Amino acid sequence: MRSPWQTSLLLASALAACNDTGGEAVMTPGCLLVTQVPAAAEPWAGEDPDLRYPPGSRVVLVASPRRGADPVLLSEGLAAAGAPALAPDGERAAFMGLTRPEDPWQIYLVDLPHGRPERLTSRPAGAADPVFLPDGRVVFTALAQRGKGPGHAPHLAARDPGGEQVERLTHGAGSATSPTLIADGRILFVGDQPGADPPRQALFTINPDGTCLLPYGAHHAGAPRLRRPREAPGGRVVLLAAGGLRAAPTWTAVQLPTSNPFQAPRPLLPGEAAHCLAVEPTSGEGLLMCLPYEDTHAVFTVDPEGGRTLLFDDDSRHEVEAVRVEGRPTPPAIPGVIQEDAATGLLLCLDVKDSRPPLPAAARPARVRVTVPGAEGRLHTLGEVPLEADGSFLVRVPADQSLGFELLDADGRLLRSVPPFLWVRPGEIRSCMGCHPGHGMAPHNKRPQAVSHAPLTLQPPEGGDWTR
Amino acid sequence: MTRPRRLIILSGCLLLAGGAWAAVAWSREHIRSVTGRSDPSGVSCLSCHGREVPDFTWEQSHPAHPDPAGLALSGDETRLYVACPGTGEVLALDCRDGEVLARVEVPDTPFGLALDTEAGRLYVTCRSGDRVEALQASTLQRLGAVEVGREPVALAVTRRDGFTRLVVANSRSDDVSILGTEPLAEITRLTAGRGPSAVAVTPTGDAVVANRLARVTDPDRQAVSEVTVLDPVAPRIRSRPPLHSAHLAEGVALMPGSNRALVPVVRTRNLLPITQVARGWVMTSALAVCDLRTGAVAQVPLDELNACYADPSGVVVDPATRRAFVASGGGDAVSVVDLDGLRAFLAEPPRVEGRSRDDDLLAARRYVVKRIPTGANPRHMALAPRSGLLFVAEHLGDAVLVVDTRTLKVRSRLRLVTDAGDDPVSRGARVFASARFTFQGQFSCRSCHPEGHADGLTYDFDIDGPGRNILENRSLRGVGGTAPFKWNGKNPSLKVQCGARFAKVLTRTAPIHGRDLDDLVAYIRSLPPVPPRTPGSSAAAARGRRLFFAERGPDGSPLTPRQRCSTCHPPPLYTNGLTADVGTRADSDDPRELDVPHLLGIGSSAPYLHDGRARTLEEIWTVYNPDDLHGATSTYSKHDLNDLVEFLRSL
Repeated sequence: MRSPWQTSLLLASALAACNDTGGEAVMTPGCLLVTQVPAAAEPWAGEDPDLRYPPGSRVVLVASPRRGADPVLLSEGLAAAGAPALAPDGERAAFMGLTRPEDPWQIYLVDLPHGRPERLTSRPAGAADPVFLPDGRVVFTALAQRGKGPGHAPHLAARDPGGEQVERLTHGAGSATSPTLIADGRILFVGDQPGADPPRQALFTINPDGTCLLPYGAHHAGAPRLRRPREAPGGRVVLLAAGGLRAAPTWTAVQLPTSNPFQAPRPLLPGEAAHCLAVEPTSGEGLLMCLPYEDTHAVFTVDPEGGRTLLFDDDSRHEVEAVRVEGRPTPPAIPGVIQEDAATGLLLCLDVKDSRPPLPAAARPARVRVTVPGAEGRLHTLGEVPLEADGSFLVRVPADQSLGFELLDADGRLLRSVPPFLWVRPGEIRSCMGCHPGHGMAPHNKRPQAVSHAPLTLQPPEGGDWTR
Repeated sequence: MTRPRRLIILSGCLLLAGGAWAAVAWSREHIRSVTGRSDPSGVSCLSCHGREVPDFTWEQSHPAHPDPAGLALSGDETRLYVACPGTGEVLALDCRDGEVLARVEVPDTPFGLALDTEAGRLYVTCRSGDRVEALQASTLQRLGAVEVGREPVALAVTRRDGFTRLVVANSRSDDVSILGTEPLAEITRLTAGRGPSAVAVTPTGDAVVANRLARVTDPDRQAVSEVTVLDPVAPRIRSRPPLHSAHLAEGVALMPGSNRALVPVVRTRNLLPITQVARGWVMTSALAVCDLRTGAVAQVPLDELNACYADPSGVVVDPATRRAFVASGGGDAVSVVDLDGLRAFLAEPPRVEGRSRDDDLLAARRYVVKRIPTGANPRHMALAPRSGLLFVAEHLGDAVLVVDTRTLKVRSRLRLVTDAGDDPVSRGARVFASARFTFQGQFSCRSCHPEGHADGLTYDFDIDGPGRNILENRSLRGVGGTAPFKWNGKNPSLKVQCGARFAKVLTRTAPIHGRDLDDLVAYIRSLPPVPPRTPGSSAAAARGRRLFFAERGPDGSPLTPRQRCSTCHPPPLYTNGLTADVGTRADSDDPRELDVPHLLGIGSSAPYLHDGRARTLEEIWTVYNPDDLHGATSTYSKHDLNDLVEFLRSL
C-alpha cells in the first residue's frame, strides 16, 4: 500500500500551476508532458509505435505534484498518442497520434497549456517521434511502409508548420529513427550500422538540412538496439539499449560520455536491470526516468548518484514518457548549404588508405567503385573513379542517393567495401578522411591532390557489369 | 512647326548628343588616366568623387578598460601584480580581497610582467613603446627603462653563474632581447621564431620561448612554428624544436622533474578544404610537449570530440598537485591537465594504428581532469603554490579569477573596475575573442586574426569548390574605411563580411547578428594598422617613396597611370577601393579582378598576394610580376626595389 504522502503525490496531477498563469506562461517549474498507457497494456519501449502506444495511450500535461489538479488531456480525440516534445518557446508541444487504431501514426501540434491537437503530417506510412528545430520546423521519423525493401526503411524528414513541404533529410539504405536535437544544433539519431552482421544500430548526426552525416557513437555498444538518445548535462548522452533481437527485450537506460561516445555505454542505474521505458534530461543535473513502480511504471527523478525520487504516478496507467516543461537554451540554427537547383553533390575523400584495419601492405588501391542499392538486395554500380597518388578522390555524385563504395586495385580486385549508407544533399560538398578511419580522429593537415583539378565524374565500370 | 524652329531643335539635339558623347569620352579617358583601368566598367564618378577621404576609424576614442594581461606574484604570495594595458597601469593587489595596494601609470601598453624577488624589482614590457620598465616591487616606483625590440609582450628573469638576465620576447620584430639588470641594459638580441610571445626559464637557467606564428612558407606546405631554446648568458640559441601544423603559441611552462616544456598551440588544418567544422576539420587546440634535450615534440589534443576549448593561451604548472592549467581564451575556461596522466598517455602507443596521437580527439579525457569556466578571454595566469591558488587574468572581463588548485573550484573574482561601462568596442572585442560563434566553439575570430592581424596562412573555402580560390588570410588591422572587403571585393561592408554568409562558409553555426554583429564591426573598425616595421625617415625609404609616387620610371620613360603604384594604392589608406588584375591569378582562381588591399602595416603581413605565394615583399616583383602588370618594375634595379620595399615597410 502507498503511504499517505505517496497517495497525495500520486493524486497531484494538478494543472493549477499552469492554469494560474491564465495560459500565458506554461514554463511553470514542475509541469510535465507525460505519455500514459493503460495499465492493462504491456509497457513497451521498442521501435514499433503500435506496441509502444496501444489504444488508450494519451499525452497529458500535469502540474507539479506539489500543486494538485487534474491533468490536461492534450491528445483529445485521438485513439492513441505518445512521444511528446516541447517547442523551444515552451508554448507548443508536438506528439505522435492516430485517430483510429487502423490509421497511420501522424504528428500533431498542440498549443499549451490546453489547446486541441492539430495534425501536422499526412504520411501514408505514418510519422513518429517529433522534435522541434530552432528554425521552427519539426523533424520526425517517417515510418516505413510494411513489406517494402531497401530504400523504404524509416528515415528522418522535416516539416515546416507553416508550409506544405516535407523534406526528406536522411537517404541511407538503413533505418534512421529516434531523432533528437543536441546542443551544437545537430540532429542526433539512431541508425543502422552499415554492413553490420548481425544487424546493429549506432548513433549518427546530421545537420538540420540533412548534410554532414557523421557517426556519433555507440558503435561498440553491447546492445544492438538503441532508442531515444538524449544529450544530458554532465557531458553525456543517455539512451535506451536493448540486448537482443527477441520480440520483447528489456530496455535499459545507459549513458555515454560525449568525450568518448564510441566506448561501450554504462548503465545509468548500476547493478539493476531496470525495465526503463524512457529517460529524459532536465535543465539540472537530474534525469526523468520512467521505471517500474508497484504494478505500473511511474515518473522518477534520478540524481547523478543514482538516487531516485518518485515524481508522478497514476496507478491506473503506466507513465512511459515524461518531459519537463522548462526553459532550456535553444541550440544554434546551423545554416543550410543545400542548393535547391542542384541534382548532385561532391564527395571528397582525403585518403582511401586511411582505413581500419589497415590495408595489406601489398595492396595497391587504384580506383573506387560507387554503388547504390538495387533490387532484391543487389548492388547497382553508378560508376568508378580513379584515385590520385595520395589516395584522394573528388567526384560528383547524384544527390539524395544512398551510396556505397568498393575499393579496387588496378586489376579490379576488391580491397574494401562499404554497403550503401552515405549520401550527399544537393550542392553539398561532403568530405571523408578515408575508407574507415579510426573513430574520433581529426584529419591530417595535407592538401589532397584531388582538389588540384575539377571534380571527376563517375565512369562506367570496367567489364560493364552494372548490377551484381 | 516652322522650318527655322525645326532646325533650331535639331541643332540643339545634335549639340546635346555631341556634348554627351564628348562627356562620356572624356570621363572614360579620365577614369583610364586616374585608375589605370582600360575597362571603366564598375567605376563611376562616385567611386572617387562621392567618396570622402576616409577617417582613420581606429582614431575614434572609446572607453578604456583595464584588459588585464601579465600577472606576477610576490614571493610571499600576498601581492598580485597586474598589468593593465588598456588603462596603462600596473596594479598591486592584495591577494586575499583584491584591494588595490598600489598603482602606477606605465605608458605605452604595459603587458608582460616578471618579478625579480631577490632584487625586489618588477619588470614590465611596454608593448607599444618597445621598451622594458623596471619598478620597485614594494612601491611600484619607476626605476628605469631600456629599449628592446618591437612590441615586447613577455619576459622572464633567469640566473646562472652569478649573472642575472632578463629575456624579453619581442613579438613584432621576431627576436628576443637579452638584458642585464645592473645596469638595466640590452646585451644582445637573438632571432627567435615568428612572433615570440611567451618565455619560461628552465631550472638550469635556459630560456624557452614560445612563438605565435608559423614561418612563412609555400602555401601548399604545412605551417611550422617553433619553440626557441636559448642560453641567455652565453648568449646563444641552443635549439629550435619545430611545431608541425601548429601555431598561435602564447604560453610556455616547464614540466616539473623533467626537461620538457609545455606549449599550448592551435593545430591548424588550413590545407584542407573547409567542407565542415566538425571533428577538428579546421583547427583544434593542443598541448605541445617539447623535450628540450632531444628537440622531440609530441602534440596532444586539448579538445574533445564534441567539445572544443579554443585559443589555448597561458599555461602554468603546479608541482604540488602535478597539474598544468591551460587558459582557453576563446572557450572561456581553464583546462586542468593531470601531468601523470599525460606522461602515461605519452608512453603508450597511439590508439589508432598508423595514426599519430596528435589528431586523436578521444585522448583528452585521459589527462584533462576538469574544465573550469571563467569570464571573458582568460589568457595570462599566475600560480601561488604555497597558497594553493591560481590567478587567471580575464583579459576582456576586467577581472582576475581566483581558483583553488586543490579543489579546482572558483574561490573568488577580483574585479579591477566597477564602472568600466559597456561600450560597443569592448563588447565587440569579446565577440571577436569568443568561440561561441563557431560550431562547437572550435575557434574564434581571433584564432585566424591574432590581435586582429593575420595568422599568415592560406585557406581553402569550399564555397567555390574544393581547391578553388585558395586565399591568403588578410589582416583586419586598419581595414576600417577600406571597403569593399574580401579578396574579390564583393562585400560592401564589414557587416556583410561578418554576417550570415560567413556563418555558412566558415563558422557553420548560427550567424553573428544583431547587436553582436554591430559590436563586432565597431571593434574591427577600432583596430589600428600594425605599426610600421621601419621608420619612414631613412634615406632608403625616402628614395622608395619617390619611386612609389613616380610618374616616370627609373630610366626616365613615362609611366602610364596603370604602371604607377600610387594609382591603385593612393594615400592615406593606400587603396583606391577598387579591384584590379595584376596578373597573379592562378588556374584555380576564378577569372575576376581582385580587391586592392591597403598597405598600412604591410611590412608585417607576410605572405603576400591574394594566395600568399609571395613570401616577401621583394618576391611580389622579382618572382610574380613577369609582365609588369603589378607596376613596371622590370626596369627597377635591385637597389630600387630595396628602396621601394623600405618605403612600404615604413607605412
